[in-house]
Amino acid sequence: MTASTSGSMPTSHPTMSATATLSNLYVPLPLTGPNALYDPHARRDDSSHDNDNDNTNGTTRSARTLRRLHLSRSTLSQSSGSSLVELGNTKLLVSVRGPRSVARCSFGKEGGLVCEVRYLPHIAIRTSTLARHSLSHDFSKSASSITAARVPRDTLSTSQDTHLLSSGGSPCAPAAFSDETYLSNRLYEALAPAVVLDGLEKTKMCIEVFVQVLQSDGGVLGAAIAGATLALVDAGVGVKDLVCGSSAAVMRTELPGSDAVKYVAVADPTEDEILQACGVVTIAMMPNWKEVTVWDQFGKMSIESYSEAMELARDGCFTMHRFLKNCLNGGSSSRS
Amino acid sequence: MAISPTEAHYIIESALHDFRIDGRSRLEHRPYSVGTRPSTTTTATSSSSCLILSNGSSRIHLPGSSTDILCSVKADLVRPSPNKPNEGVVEISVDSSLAGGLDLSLGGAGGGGGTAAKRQLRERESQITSLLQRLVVPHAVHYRELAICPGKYVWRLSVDIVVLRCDGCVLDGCAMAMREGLRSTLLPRVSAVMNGEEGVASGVGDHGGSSNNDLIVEGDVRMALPPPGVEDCPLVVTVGVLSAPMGAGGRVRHVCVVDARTEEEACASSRVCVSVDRKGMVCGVHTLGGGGMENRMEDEFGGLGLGISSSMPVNMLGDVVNTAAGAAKNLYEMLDREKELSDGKDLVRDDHDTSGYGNLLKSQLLIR
Repeated sequence: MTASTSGSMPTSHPTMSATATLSNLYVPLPLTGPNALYDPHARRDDSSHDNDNDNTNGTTRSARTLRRLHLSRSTLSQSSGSSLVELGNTKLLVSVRGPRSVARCSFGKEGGLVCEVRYLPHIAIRTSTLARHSLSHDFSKSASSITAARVPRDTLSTSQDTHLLSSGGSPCAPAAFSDETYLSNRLYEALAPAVVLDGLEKTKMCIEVFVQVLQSDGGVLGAAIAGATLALVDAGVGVKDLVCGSSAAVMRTELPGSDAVKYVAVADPTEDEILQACGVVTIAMMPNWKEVTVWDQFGKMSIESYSEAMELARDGCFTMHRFLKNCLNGGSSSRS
Repeated sequence: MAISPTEAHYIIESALHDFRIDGRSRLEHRPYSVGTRPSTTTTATSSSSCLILSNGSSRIHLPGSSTDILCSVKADLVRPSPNKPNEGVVEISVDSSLAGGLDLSLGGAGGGGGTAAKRQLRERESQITSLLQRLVVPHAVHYRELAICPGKYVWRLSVDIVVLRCDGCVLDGCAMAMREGLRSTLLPRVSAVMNGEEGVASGVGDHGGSSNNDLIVEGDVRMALPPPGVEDCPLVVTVGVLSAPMGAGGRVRHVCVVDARTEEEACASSRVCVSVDRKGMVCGVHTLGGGGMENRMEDEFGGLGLGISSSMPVNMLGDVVNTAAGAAKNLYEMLDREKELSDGKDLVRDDHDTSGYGNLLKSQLLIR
């Protein structure tokens, strides 16, 4: 992984070709605050910056459009199978190792499929995301909080701080930044029904799926699931179907000129959108079997918007499935 | 839970015809009863809870005690975390060490002994805790209104749930207990006096030391209020998806049941926890694995396409949500009725009926 030195202009992103896939890893994401005038039908699309071969030529996408998806496989030479997934600004590397004996596994003690998701420790999560969970107060008052001496000393421990991170602030904050154990468990649940192990778990052998999140900008779970399937196939592990994951958010929009509030479902939300959303649905499914393996929701939404969001997430899975197949049939593929 | 394929077949086929093993229909909950008062020992005095040392408590149980869950809520004032200076805290912990049958109810392998079983129990506990944390806690109360003085004092509600016994759907029971516990909680009215900010109108003076502020606690119990927003606290409905491998036309048929018993959970092909609040809004969804029947089913019927962990057909999703919403509506009505009942008069319930729910219904059937 090398940082690109070609991006000399601070405002422009370096060009991204089909092969130079990691080039813009260290380019800071554009800072955009929560926009009061959010239009679900013309969403900002930061990822489609160099779509010369596309005729869309837009910096916006509609409510139903996914972000630019880039897939490539066999990116790491040391693993049995690997893949790189870029979904807009969400980027992750997946490496599949094994089958090897459980004793030699770096994590997990039982045989079979083992999944692990990690964030790059310092750069994968946007600092603004972490900060936005708590930025809604003014610092001037909390600075003097040392004087509050009558409070029981039993104040909040650090572990609670992390859980607070996920319980307050935006209702969907946990969907924007889910912790690693949660992601690992969900990834396992998503993949397990599809992977053909052939009694591997009985012989105390395991297949490791290791996901390294390089940048997170919403939709990490979906991207991780797609990347993991791709890497499993790349490693020659039998799967019943390519498991795809996709999410959709329900946004609350105020119609201009009136007080009416409308709830609109948008596909494949970015992190900014997730933080403004009232609810986020994530679905992982095997499109050929039409079977759902993981189904998750954060935030609140009504049943009407629910079905709308689910339909979008489902369509997202189907689209992703097409691109996964494409990628497996002929090299890398990308769309916007 | 060990269950034979024949038994599973029987349960699933009857569920397809809207008959459950205990005589319910598919969307019917068992008659949970809610206790927020001391049951028989004392006559109801003012608003004392069943656990007198906590600020609020509840007990969810079924006749015959096939399910019995206690919940206690303890409130105290803490310094908020620097991340969230103006929001209260709800902590939750689930204890099930007394419940011998809990490891069965979540469809684990069970069995084992010694440390392995203990570890499994801890895992189950933490699984329930984290699920409640995700599905219920974020919507349980209005966190901002739990702040007494932003940055300095906020309420912390520590919710402790003890699962004494559970016959299926442990999450539903825990969420019910938590909701009722929070509803019965009374927080004394506390106002913070900040020296120099609010003006020292009251007679509370300095306390020396480094602190210039003080709290005024309203001593009257009648002025105490439940935590704000607790009426919006969602309930969890676990929808079990039972799938019959071979239908009439050779295709897989699926059916949703709510509030499944252990036996039904064991033959569910997958379970979905949906948290629904009073207004019918969906507050969270989580898919659980099935009951562990799949492997054997696969042996039995061959090539069904079900793996180790569960999956369900995509067109069931809408069905599941609608089922959950409908069932939740009934559940809210049931709990409200219970609440009225226990508020209106001292509830005398036949707690000594040890015959179990199945027998109870059986006797009802016999009478009919």
